[in-house]
Amino acid sequence: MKKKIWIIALTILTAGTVYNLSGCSASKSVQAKSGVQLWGENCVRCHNAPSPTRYSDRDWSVILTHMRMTANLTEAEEAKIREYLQSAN
Amino acid sequence: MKTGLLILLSLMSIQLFAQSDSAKTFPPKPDDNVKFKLSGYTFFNYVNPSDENGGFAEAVFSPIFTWRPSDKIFFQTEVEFASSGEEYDGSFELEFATLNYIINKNMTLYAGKFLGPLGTFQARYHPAWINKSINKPIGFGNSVNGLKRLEAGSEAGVGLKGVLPAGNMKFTYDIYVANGGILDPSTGDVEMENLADNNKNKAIGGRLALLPLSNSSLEIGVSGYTAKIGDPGSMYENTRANIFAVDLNFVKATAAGIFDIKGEYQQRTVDKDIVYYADDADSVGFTFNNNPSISYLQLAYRLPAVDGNNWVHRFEVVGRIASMNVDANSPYGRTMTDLTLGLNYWLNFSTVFKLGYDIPNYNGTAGTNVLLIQAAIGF
Repeated sequence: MKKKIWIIALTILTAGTVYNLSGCSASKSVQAKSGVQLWGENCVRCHNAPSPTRYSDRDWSVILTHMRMTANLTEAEEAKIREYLQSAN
Repeated sequence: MKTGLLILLSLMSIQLFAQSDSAKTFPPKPDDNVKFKLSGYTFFNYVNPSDENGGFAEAVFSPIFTWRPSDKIFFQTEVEFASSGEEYDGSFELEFATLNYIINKNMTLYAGKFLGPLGTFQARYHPAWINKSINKPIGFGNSVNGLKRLEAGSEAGVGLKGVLPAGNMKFTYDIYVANGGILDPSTGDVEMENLADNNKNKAIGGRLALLPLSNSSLEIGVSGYTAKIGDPGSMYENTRANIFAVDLNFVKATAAGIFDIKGEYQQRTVDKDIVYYADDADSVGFTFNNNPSISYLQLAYRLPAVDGNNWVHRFEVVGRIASMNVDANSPYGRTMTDLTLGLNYWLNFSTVFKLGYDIPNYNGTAGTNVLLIQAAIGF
């Protein structure tokens, strides 16, 4: 029984992944968010938001990749936050 | 310890190579994708139980090495040097070493030793500068009678994770295959962190989460895990451990301050009762239901800046209630609740001084209260 539940869960996950590959997107209002807004919304979910001046452009580039994976940022969110931090530091 | 130093030196040599590489092209070109970053955290604890003398109890240094050799590949590893308890001279532990490959915008493949994604505390909130409470909740890394945590903490395996935007919401997924836990039939304990598997069965686990609000302030996650944990040929050969977890995170910054609510519930079920022998002279033994559960709910509130006085904004109050439910016959001891109160003072975004007071209770019987002081720095 439990095995069946896991198979069903995996199937749903796979289906979701396929759906993902075929393309799903954020709403226009979410897509319109600025980097500073996304920085303010997402950093504090886990920790205090660091100042843009805290790190160099290269550091921010690596940190944002790390945060994309840890905090589940979308590719677009990562790019906008990185652009904001690298322009404001 | 020597092995630890060798690994550290090896990792440092990577940094040196990275530096020498960048030195050839200094100043780095804007499109230079080879990037390395050293980050991490450190903390120090002072612990004073109400019935004992206080003392400086723990010092931990956890550097995190991150390396991005290309836009698609990302490596990160954390080592922990800790001096605590009887380990005065320090212990060394490889927390994780994970290679990530970004397949596409919504999917990343990872492999190696990674922080288990079951729930969120271990995967995200356990570093001392991120954890708003002064210690970890019982059963979430804070050991009680040998039961440190229900999930692995870190596991060796391979997984797939990503995020799916959908209108104003986001879904996240993380599914993995790992060696799985090993049951110790003499105690009923399940050793979840294993580099060697005791059977052919592999563990499958994962977490699905929903961020229903467009500002991502609310996250609700569900996690699951299943694995055979018994040795082949033993009476526990087909015994399976299952873990179920739900987690919640809500953070809202308002004019009245920052409100932070975090919570998690985990239950591990072992589908066969365990016979536990207290010692060699015990021929009868105890049978216990090996289905412990743990939970915590934490509320934190950080004051707003008042009339431009930023020092007010540096203060944060935290309250957390945690519980651990175990079978009365199990070697894990008694069901326990733990109330932790705290006052934090933030020097900057990642440097904090914490004052905490821990009030344990064992099934209605008060335990020993503990005063704690901590300094933590994230870098």
